Amino acid sequence: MTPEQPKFDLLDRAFPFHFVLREDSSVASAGSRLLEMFGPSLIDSSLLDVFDIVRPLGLQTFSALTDRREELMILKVRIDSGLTLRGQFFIMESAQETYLVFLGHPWIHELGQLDGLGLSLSDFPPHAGMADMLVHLQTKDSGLKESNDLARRLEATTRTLSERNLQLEEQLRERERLQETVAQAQKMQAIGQLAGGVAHDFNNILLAIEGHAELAALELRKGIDPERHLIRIREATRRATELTARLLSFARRNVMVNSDVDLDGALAEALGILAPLLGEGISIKTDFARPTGLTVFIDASALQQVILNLAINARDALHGNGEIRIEVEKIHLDQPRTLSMGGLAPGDWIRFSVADGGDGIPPEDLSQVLEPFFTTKEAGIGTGLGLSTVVWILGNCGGLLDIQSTVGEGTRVDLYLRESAKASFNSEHPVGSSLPEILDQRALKVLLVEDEESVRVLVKEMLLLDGHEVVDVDSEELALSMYFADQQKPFDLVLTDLVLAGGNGRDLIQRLSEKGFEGQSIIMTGYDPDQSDLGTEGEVILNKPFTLDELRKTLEKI
Amino acid sequence: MYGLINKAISGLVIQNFGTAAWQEICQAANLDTHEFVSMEQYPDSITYDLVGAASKVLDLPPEVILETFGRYWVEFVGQQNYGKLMDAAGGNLGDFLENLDEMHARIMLSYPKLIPPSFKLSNRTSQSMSLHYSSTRAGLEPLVVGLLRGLADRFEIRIDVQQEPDRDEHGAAVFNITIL
Repeated sequence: MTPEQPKFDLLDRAFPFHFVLREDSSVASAGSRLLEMFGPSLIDSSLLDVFDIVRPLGLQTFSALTDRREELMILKVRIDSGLTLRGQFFIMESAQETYLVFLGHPWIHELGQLDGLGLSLSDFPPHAGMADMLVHLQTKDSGLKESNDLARRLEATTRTLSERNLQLEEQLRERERLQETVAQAQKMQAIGQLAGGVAHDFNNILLAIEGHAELAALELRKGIDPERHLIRIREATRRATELTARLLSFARRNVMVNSDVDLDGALAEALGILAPLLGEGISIKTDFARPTGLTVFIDASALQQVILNLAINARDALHGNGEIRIEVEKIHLDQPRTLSMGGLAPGDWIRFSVADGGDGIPPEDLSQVLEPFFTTKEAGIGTGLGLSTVVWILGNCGGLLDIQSTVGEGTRVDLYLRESAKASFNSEHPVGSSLPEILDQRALKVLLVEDEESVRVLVKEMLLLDGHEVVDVDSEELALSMYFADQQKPFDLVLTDLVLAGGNGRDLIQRLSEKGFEGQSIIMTGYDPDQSDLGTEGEVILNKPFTLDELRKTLEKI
Repeated sequence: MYGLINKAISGLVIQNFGTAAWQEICQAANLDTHEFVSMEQYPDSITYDLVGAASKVLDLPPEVILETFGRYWVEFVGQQNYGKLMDAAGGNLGDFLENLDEMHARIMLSYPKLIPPSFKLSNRTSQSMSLHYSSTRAGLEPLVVGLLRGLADRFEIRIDVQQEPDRDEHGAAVFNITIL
C-alpha cells in the first residue's frame, strides 16, 4: 500500500465523485461513485475525453487548470449521462509528481433530476450543501404552493362575501321599504279605527250646532236674544276644528322625519284622539307631572301612532272595561339594561309606559309579539302590525321597547326615548306668518270665489260686516268674467277656495295675474297645507274652518 | 406539531367520511378552526385531541385511527409536492428506511422546530429487516405500523409487520418486517 492510499480512501468517503489528474491530464484515480457510473475505463482516460470544462472557459491543459485551481469549476461528463460536477481543483504534490485533485459533487437544480442520473440523497454527504438546498427549496415550494392556494381561496371567499354583502344590503333596503309600507298600512288601519270615533264625536258636534241653530231661530222669532245659542254653536265649531286638525296631523306624513317634539303637546293631542276610541267602560289614568317639560327626538306623527297603537292594544286587552295607565318618567341608567328589543345603553332616557290590567300575553307568545303579522287577537280584529310598527318607528329614532306581561294580570309596554337637546319646542306655524305687509287695513274690493254656497254666503257676510266691497262668484270662469266685467275699480283681493267645481283657485290666481291683476290673493282650503304643498312662495293660505277673527287677522296681515 | 400533520388528518377523514364528519370531529375536539397551514406549528395537544375526537365520532379505537392515518400519511405527503423528496430518499423499502433519519435531518432545515422520530434498520436482508423506532412522543407505535404499510403500497410490495413485545437496549420499539 502506498502512503497516499489511505488519504485517497478518506477522499472517497467524503467525495465519492472526486478524481485525480496526472501532469499529462490523464485520470490517475477516481471516487467510487464515478467508477460505478463510468467503469474502470475512466482510469488513464484523458480529462478532456471524459469532461467538457463548462466554467471557466478556455481551459485545455494541466498547467491552465493549475493556474485556475481552487476556482469554482463546472465539468460536464462527455458521455451521455447528463451528469455535471461542481467543485474545485487542488494541487497535491508527492516526491515524484504533482497532481491536481478535483473535489466536488453532482450539480443539479431540483430533486427530480436525481432519479434520472441514478443518484439519491445519500450521494450528497452532510458537508455538501447542495442536497440540503434542494430539499429546502422543495419544502419551501410546497409551502409557497399552499400559500398560493390559500390566497386564491381567500380571494374567492372575499369575492363571495362581497357579493353576499351586496345582496344583504339590497335585502336590507327592501326590508326598509317593506317596513315603511307596513307602517303606512298600519297607519291607515289606525285611521280607519279613528274614523269610527271621530264620526261619533262629529255627530255630537253637528247635533249641537243644528240644535242651537234651531233654538236660536226660534228665540229670534220670539224676540229673545239668541246670543247664548250662537256662542254654543261657535264652541261646537271650535271642537270640530280641533278634531279635523288632529286627524290631519296624524295622517300628515308618509316618510318619517325626526325632529324635536314637545312631549306635552304630543300627549295632549294623542289623548284627545284616544278618548273617543276607548268606549265608555275604559278610562285613561295618567301618572306624570304636567307639564313634563320634556322634548323627545322622533317623528311627530309617528309618536302619535306609537301612543295610539299601544293604547288600542291595551283597550282590546281590557274587553270594554278597565283602566289604561300612562306614565312618563325621566330616568338615568348607570349600567346597560337588557330589554325585549335589545340592550339599553347607560345614560338619560325618557320612559313612556302604557299598562293595562287585561288578559296578558302567554310567555310562549311574548317573544313573538314584536314580529310583524303576529297577533294574539282574534282573526279579523288585529293585523299583527301594531307592535312591529312601534318597533320600527323606535328603531328610526334611536328608541327601544320593553314589554312585560303576565297572563290574567295585564301587560306593560315601556318605551325608551332619547330626550332632545332642546329644552322647549314650539310646533305652531301660524298661518300667514310670512305674509307681505303691503295693504293697509282699509275697505277692500274683494273677488270672492267659492263653489260651496253656504261658505260663500258666510264669508261674504263676514267681509261685508267689516265694510269691504264683495263680488262673489261660484266658479273660476265666472270669476274671470267678473274680473273683466268690473273694471271701474280694480280688485284689491282675490279670496278663493282651492278646489272649485271645474277649476282650481291656484290656476285662477295665475290666470288673473297673466291678465294684469296686481292685487293680493288668499287661498282658502280645508286640506292639510303640509300635504298639499300649499304655502309656497307668495301664497297666503287661510285654513278652513276659520272664524271671523281669523279672517280679520289674515286680512290685517296682508 | 406542524400543521401538515393536522392537514393530513383532515384529508383522511374527509376522503373517507366526508366534510360533515370532519366538522363534527373539530367540534368534538373544541377547535376554533377547521383549517391548518402546513408550515405553521400547532400544539401537540391539538393532534391528540383530533385523534381522540375522531375515535369517538367515527366509533373506532384510537389504534385503528393511528394506523389508518400512518398509511394515509405516506400517500398524503406524496401528493403534497413532497413526492420527489421521497423518491430521492430511496427506491425501495430498505433504502428508504435507511435514509429516513437523514431525510428528516435535511427537512429540519425547512421545519426548524420539527421533532421527528428516529429510525434505524438492523438485520437487513433482501426479504426482511428490523426497524428500531424512537420518539419523544408516546403511544404512536400503531402509526409506525401504518407508515410501513403505506410505504409498502408506495413500493408496490406486500409486507408483514410484527412489533416485538420488548424494546431494544436503547429503549426503541422494534418492528420486524417481512417482505411477502
